[in-house]
Amino acid sequence: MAKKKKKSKGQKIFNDRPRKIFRHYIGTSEFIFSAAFTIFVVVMGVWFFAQKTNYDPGERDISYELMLAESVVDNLWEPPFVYWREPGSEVAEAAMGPEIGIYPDVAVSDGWTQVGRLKEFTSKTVYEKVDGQEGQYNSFGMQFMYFLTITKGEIEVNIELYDMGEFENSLGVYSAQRTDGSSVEQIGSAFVTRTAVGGLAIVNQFYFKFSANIEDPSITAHALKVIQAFADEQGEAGAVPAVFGILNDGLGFGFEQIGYQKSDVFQYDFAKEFWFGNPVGDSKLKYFLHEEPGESAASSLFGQIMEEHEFEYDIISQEESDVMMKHDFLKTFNTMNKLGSFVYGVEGAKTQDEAEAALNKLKSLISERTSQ
Amino acid sequence: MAKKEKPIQKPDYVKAPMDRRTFLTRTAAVAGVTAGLGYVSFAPKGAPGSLKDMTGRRSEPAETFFELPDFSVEKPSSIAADIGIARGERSDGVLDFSEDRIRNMVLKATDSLGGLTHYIKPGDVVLVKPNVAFDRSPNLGATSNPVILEQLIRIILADCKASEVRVADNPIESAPDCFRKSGVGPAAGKSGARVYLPDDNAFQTLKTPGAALIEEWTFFARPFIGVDKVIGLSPVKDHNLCSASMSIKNWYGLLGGARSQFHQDIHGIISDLAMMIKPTMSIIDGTSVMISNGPTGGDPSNVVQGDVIVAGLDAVAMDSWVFEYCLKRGKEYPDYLFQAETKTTGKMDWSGRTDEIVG
Repeated sequence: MAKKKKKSKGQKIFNDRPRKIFRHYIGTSEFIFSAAFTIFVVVMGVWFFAQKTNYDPGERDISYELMLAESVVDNLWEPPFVYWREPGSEVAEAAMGPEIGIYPDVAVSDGWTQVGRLKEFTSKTVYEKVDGQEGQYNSFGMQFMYFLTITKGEIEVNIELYDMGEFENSLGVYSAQRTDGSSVEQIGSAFVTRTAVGGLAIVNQFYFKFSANIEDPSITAHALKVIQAFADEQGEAGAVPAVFGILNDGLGFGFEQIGYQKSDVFQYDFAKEFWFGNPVGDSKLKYFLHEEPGESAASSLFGQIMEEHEFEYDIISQEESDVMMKHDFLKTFNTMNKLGSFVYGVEGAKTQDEAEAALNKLKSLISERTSQ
Repeated sequence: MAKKEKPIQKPDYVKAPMDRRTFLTRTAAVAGVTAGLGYVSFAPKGAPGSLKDMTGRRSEPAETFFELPDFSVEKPSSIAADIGIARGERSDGVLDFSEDRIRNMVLKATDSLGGLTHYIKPGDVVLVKPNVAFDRSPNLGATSNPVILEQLIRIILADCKASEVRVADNPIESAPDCFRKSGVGPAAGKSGARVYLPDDNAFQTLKTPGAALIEEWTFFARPFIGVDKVIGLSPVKDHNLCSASMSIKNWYGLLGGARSQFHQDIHGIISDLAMMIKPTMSIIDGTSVMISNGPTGGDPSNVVQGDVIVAGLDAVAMDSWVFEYCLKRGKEYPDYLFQAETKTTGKMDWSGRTDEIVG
């Protein structure tokens, strides 16, 4: 094998300078620089590997406490909010009116002005406004909430307007939030309960809540005006559920005596959407009824309820779809009945005769309905 | 003109084939380097020298957590009570809730536990955490009473000689609106406290070991930096989900993030809150009680006048007493009190641990 020739000192390959390695003399500055550079590279390498994954901004930046101590309160100028207008728009020079959406114009009349903007919430975002109580509204099928604040002088009123989707839902939440014993008056198609700071009301599927920062009769008066105007705009009430009609027209219960429970009726998770009627003067006796889509669904529900009731009630008498029971603990008389697509009965009666008398009234009305 | 050719640099160079030793040496070197690189790339994560990082997060800095110290202070040895109750004085059968009377009630309730000067030392930085959850005026009882807050702050600054009092809460709604409308903001400002409003940079991750739902959760940390003592000030309210909102529930307002999801396990989260923070003291306003339609209320008829201000060192016991006597719900306590009793050192049985004063 031919040996590789040793390159002579004078021979160059890549540059025209002699290779340093063959030099006999290395200058002092060059030596110092080389040593310093080598040390620098070594130190950088050691530092680099010493970091590993321990990068901590806290060791690099100034301390949080120092930032807090050195920070200043900076009052930023906020330009007044101006609604967008198309350039050249006819009303560009006109004064900007309030944007109150679904609310009637009368809400911001007569010296009342809007504060801030109308806020809208859905069933998923309403917790931002009523944190902790959104479950109650959602359990009654809340769809939207429109929040408006109006003011007049020192009075500031928050108005919450809930679109509950259906009349029974708005009735349900209204009954749940109305103070026991408070009166209900009908104004057009609206049902209203006055409060010292405004009031509660339902108009078809809508539920109103007015709450002011002080108590003043002018607040309630204005609330009624707004409710009435809203009811007029909404027009005639939608179809009232048949069950409501039985309690209201048939049994003569006033609005405040009628309640609607959306879920967990009798504390059973399968029992939903029951109507209740309380006769005046007797807070324990209640009529209840519920309409299923069909007879077989009603039979199924009836069976499920009876299966659970057997743990807490003594059965006194039972025909096919008519059961008379006595509560083991409360000693009150209850019935559970089915007719067609209706599941109904009475609860809380003091005696069996009382229960039977109340039941017969309800049964005759339901028989009429099912025979129609 | 003929093209000028470059002279051959090494005309007598003869390229020789690589010898075996050189070949083996170079091959071994390449193989070694390849094997080394392959090892550091593919060796399991825990192996020495391994650089394997399938997620790309290996170099991510380890998260540091915010820590809440224990703010509780041992009560004086001469004091047996854990709950101090100040009953309002009646004049001709009417309760007097003037500012002076409120101040006296706060003093009496805390004096039953040894006095605020025992718990707050001169120079302390004190955080008062009221309930400012809603954009509601104080007459509706949904938020902390601004009059009580104002008097409490004055006592802390003047009597206890604290160096600073901070007031903070994190409502879901607009915080400035809630603080203004509830009267808490003006009351705090008037009495010399500093209000801390939440913003995106005010939160850190808090670790609460043993908590079921909030073992690591975003927390309104900024007001707590540098704080020596913490006092909670809460109203008494009916609550749609958990039956009652009292002192333990008050700490919910310090949580950040998507905290509304905890409504699905409301009793679990409230009992976790009892673990999360050990305050110096909790004070409950029993002068106006929301007995129905809570927590937002909206109708003054939901609120009844009470006659007590309660201070407590054991939040579980205090909430039990308040549930029974202010909300008048008897002994059907909410489940979160039972859970809090198992998770903390608090005891629901308050008998023999109260001290009641009229004034």
